[in-house]
Amino acid sequence: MAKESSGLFLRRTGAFIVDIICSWAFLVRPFAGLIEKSVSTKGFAATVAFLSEHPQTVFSLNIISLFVSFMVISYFVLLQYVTGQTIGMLAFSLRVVPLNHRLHWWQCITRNLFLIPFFPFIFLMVTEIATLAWSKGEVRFLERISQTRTIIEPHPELKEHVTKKALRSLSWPSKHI
Amino acid sequence: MPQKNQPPQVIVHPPPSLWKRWLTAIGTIITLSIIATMITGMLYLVLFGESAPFGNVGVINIRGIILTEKSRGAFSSPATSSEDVVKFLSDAKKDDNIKAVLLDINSPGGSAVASYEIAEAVKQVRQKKPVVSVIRESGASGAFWVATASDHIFANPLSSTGSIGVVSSYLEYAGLLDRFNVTYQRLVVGRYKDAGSPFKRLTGEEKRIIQGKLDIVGDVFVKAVAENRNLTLEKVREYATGMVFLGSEAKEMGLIDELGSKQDAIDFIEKKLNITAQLTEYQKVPSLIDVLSGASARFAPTTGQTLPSPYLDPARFEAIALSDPTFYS
Repeated sequence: MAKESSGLFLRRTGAFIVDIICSWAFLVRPFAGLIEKSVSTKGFAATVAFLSEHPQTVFSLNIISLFVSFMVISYFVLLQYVTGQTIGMLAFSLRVVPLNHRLHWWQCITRNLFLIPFFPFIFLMVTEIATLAWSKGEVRFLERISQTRTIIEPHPELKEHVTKKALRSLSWPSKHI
Repeated sequence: MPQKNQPPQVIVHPPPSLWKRWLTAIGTIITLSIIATMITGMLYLVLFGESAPFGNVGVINIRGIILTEKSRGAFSSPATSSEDVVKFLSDAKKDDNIKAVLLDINSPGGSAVASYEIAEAVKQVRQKKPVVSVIRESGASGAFWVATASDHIFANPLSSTGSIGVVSSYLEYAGLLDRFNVTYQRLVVGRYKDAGSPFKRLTGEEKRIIQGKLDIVGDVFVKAVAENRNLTLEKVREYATGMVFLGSEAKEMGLIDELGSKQDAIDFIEKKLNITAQLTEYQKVPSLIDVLSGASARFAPTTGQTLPSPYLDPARFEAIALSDPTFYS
């Protein structure tokens, strides 16, 4: 069981990395030129000094960040709603399933709120990593709130096994896995 | 009704086929990528449309022919509008973040009025912060006039500078019309109203009058150069043959300050003001309508401009001027 849990954790981590790479390549890179034009300093200290002297630049960067995060969240939400799988999930045979009868928009949005890079959502990144690690890859904090789960794509022969595994993950913390 | 202590059911709906899911995923990310590119374009226009709000050294490009009207569409040859440059200079003067202005010049000159406007605007900025010009391949005639208004001029040793003079030549078609038995019907009020018309012969008197006007414009040009470069009028009149001078010659004559590149100009600014230069470019982003229409700029009146008659294509003029410096004399 521990092996299966670590397998799920690793799959989910791998899928997320693939999704981040795809998002960066297709959705974030178009904005890279804008960010470079806004801040042309080199080095952390010089950048901080520049930003402290130019509040307009900070405002512009916030606007750009807003649009970037909107595009990235749209990628996750759209694909999870339409097919239940992002590109990373397809690659690692994972899928989003609802605990109710069908997947709703609010569920897809809620489970991806940690991607918003603004206060207070930015703290969700920490809680998500912590709860995922605690549950050994089975369930995140926002998945509990959104009533969804991420499961390994059911193999026809393993369908019953996977369903039972998903059922077991409903309890917190699950000590009977 | 589910019995007590029964766990809720997880319903796993059968997914669409694998290839359909991959197709959907790839199609979605490509669509989102296109939307991201469009949003980037809009944000660029909003954040950097006309001014350059970031950085501490404002760079203003002066490219192609200098005219008074707005820049033409993106598909025509480059031109600089004095209206745009004066606005950029005004913005740079007001912006406390901008510590210096760098004029990046690559222009054979243009309209006397436009050059005058830009030179005066440069002098206004100089009262508050330093303006440094760097002449690239060409900074002649009107462009040189603009450069002289700045605090310090850099040029490449092989740059084309100088060309202190005025030209208003044009093609006269009167003989051609006679040959083809085409008659010019003269209907005017005011005997000099059609002076300079290419469809009739220029009389001696008209030529003297137009030449007089060009002399006045030339005089203004010469006086401006003498004042800006701290040279005597006699010296500048000696140079004002319309001849183009190489950068190295201009340095010996006192028409420019230093031989160097754009980087040298930046280093000069950094040393003078003791700052680390963060360049930020002022530019006019053409609207979609400008690009599609490729609207042509209208020319100043024939008298008093450093361009030939408007009946010549300015793009051809630029090409000829750059290849044959004696065209200006």
